[in-house]
Amino acid sequence: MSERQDHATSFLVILVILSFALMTLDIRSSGGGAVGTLRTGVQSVFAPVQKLATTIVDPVFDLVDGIANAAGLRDANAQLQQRIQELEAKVDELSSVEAELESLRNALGLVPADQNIATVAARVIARGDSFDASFQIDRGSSQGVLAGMPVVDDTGALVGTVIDVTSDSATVVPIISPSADGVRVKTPAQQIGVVLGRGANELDLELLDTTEPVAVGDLLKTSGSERYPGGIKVAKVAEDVRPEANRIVATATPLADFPRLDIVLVLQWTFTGTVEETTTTTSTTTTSLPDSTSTTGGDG
Amino acid sequence: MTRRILISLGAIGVAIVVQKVVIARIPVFGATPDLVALTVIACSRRLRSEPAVVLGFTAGLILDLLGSTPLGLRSMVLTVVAFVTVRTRDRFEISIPTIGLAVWAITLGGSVLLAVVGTLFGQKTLSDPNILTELLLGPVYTVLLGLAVLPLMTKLLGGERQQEIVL
Repeated sequence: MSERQDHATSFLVILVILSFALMTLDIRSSGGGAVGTLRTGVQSVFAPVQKLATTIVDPVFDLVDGIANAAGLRDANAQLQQRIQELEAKVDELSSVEAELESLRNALGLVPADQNIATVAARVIARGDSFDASFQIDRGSSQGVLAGMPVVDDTGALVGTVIDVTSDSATVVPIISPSADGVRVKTPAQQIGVVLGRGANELDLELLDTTEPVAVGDLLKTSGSERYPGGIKVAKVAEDVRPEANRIVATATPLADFPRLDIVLVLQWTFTGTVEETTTTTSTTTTSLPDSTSTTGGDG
Repeated sequence: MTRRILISLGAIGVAIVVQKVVIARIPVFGATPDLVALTVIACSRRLRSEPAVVLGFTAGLILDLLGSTPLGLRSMVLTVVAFVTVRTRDRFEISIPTIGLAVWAITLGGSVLLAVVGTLFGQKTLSDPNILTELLLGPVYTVLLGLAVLPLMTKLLGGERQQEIVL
């Protein structure tokens, strides 16, 4: 063994020990402290470069997507035109019903958890890989984004949570990541459970104290917790499962299209101490969740 | 040598941005090539042992800081990748197929190490149902990407090592 290779071995040992020390420190400090400051600093340096690179490559990806989906888009367009006509007729009918519902809500003092939450539209500027599903967005604390805020896609489906914020960028951990915390959800039959990320585009659903089965296609929405406001659509049940010992374990398919995420909305929502209650703030954008896509502001 | 280190650092920076902005958007069967590991291997072929190992550590540290993995996880993996490259480069630089085989083996080893140590540190990577596909396909894609990256890096870094095969 040459002297130079001995030096390389020494370097290897030192750096591997240092790496393990950093991992332990990072986990023990839960991403805060000096490690958090370092993360913020490096992300601040790379965010402008990633934004610039995204601006350059986005048109290329859009062009390729457009070519690949041209035939499908024509069919979709025809279907949508027909659907618009049907919906316009229904809107007239519903407007009077909506006014009545609003007055009844006011009378009962109910605030729908999934309405009128201020949002910040953001573009995905960098993505992780198979071993790290987190991604970066081009909005940060300067635009009102804070760690812990929920993130949804442009259809209102839950995407994940902001974990790190710099002045002009933020890191989001998606709900499909095994590292993400579980999401408390509610089934159409009002069963309460938790969905957990598997890493692939799948979620594990677990319902406790239940006697009702779940069926394919059952829509799961957030039930309201300290992490997410209630009423955000999360996933659909992917299999028929009957309870065993009052417990159901099933697979669910997330509604957000994670591989193709481009624009997301950060909900400027903070937990106020009461489940199902939301904080409505004045911001650049407001959107109605979960089905509306009325987004303005941002550069997305 | 300073020039080579600076070029290597620049290449790592570019590789990180391209990996996160471009390559991560185009997974094929759920896997993507690892351009950063490939760049570390390419630089380690030409750098002296110590700078190569430190370069691997630095590249991993930046990736850790930009992602949500525990700080130090990828640093450790890419340090090992650089070290293995330095230790084996004289043996694998015989022909283009042996270089390809070495890149495949080193990136596969790196991915397995990342999955195992990541799981030990709470990443649950091994519980991912697609982990086997990712572990098997990722290194193959990395070898294919290497057909373009390795000659480019050889050109940028120069080739003064005597036994080198210019891919």
